[in-house]
Amino acid sequence: MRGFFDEISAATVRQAVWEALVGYFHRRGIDKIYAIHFPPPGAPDGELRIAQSSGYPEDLVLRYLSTDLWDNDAVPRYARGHPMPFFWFDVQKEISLTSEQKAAISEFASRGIRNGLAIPVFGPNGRNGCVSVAIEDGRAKFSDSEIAEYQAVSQIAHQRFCELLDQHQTELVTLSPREAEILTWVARGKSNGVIGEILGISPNTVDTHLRRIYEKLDVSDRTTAAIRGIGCGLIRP
Amino acid sequence: MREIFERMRTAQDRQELWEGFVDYFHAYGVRTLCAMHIPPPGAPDGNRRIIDACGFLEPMIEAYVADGLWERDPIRKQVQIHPAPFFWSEIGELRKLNEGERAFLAECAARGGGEGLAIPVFGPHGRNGYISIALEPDRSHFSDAVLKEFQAVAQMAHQRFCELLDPELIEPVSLSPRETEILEWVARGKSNTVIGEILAISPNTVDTHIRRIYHKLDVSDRTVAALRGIGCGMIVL
Repeated sequence: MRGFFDEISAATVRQAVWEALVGYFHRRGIDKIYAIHFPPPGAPDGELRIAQSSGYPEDLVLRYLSTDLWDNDAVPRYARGHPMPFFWFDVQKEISLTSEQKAAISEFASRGIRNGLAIPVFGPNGRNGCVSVAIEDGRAKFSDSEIAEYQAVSQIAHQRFCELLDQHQTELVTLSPREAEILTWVARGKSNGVIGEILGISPNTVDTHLRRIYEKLDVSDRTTAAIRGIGCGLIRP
Repeated sequence: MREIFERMRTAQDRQELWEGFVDYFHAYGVRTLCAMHIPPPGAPDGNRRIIDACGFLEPMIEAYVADGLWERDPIRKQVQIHPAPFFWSEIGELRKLNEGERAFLAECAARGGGEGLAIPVFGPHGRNGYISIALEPDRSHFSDAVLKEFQAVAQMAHQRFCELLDPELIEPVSLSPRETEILEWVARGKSNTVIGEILAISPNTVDTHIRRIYHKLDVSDRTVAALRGIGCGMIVL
């Protein structure tokens, strides 16, 4: 694990982080790895499909990224709500799948991809992700201590990934301290009238600030403004 | 590292986890450390801070917690948006400090606070925290790989801590498919009228659903409901 940590510390681009992670799993006899990044809602990259894979057939990866196979993969969706690593098989037991999700599972199975370990990873401002490794048919189950180590390694890789992403994501918009204060109260569900009372200013002044915030964040309502503010790390209610 | 992972994984309560964690750092000669748990906005325990500390002088801890010193702690604020560990002394380069924050740092210095490492840790649904460890002024005796190991251990401890928290704090509320759909539109900033048009139901019916959602999530307005839904992984935008 030390060797992996050395590589991660030395990585200065996201590709190097990914290569270190792939290398780590290769050394443990695991060849099929994919990682999906979940940008927080409202972040500038919130709409992008950010993913990396290794060891999967190229045409399948392309289909996954360019069609609704992406939306119908039940594993990442399940990972968003579940903090601990889980096996893909468990998802099918835990939730009732839509017919599209079942079709996606069949398509993966027809390519020999049946079970795997999904590792949810977490980052700042709700910038999370999921690292998945396929378990080849007939391979022994991972032990609990192996899973713990995979989790630590994936998590550290994710945080380094976020760090190398950071510069592009954070410096797009800045709010004045007053604007940040007001948006924080908006995110706590306060009306303009109440915010005015809290800050000792008129509701009209609050409204003026809020309009300026909308303009800066390129939104047109308070809920989206709050979500974007949190997603960009501008506020933390 | 296998050993500490195993000890944390098998810890049955938070106390046992903390003891294992402290022992791990003691073995590296680190005797002064503290951990703060920061629940996500809108969580049932959202206003509660859990702090564990070891090796700090009693009055220091009391001042930090009881006198509200932590409110002005710039390091605590920075860890919530910063993906990687940083040294206490770097705080001035990482964020613009206001007067209160500068006073906090001056007070720490006056009390003999030296150098240390702040390690942000992240968990599910925005349930974050941070670990601080005091270091010798000459911090160079820990290599980057060791510092990465500290980060991995702190992160795994946090995730185990989240698991060991009262189940009712992290048990996700379940929304019906219709409620989920409506909350997703709320989070996209749509009004009841617009949501009614999209789903071909009356604004009144939308309102009834929304009241039920508020009740389930224990909130009283749409912005906080949306943030809560995102934070708990109930909706995905």
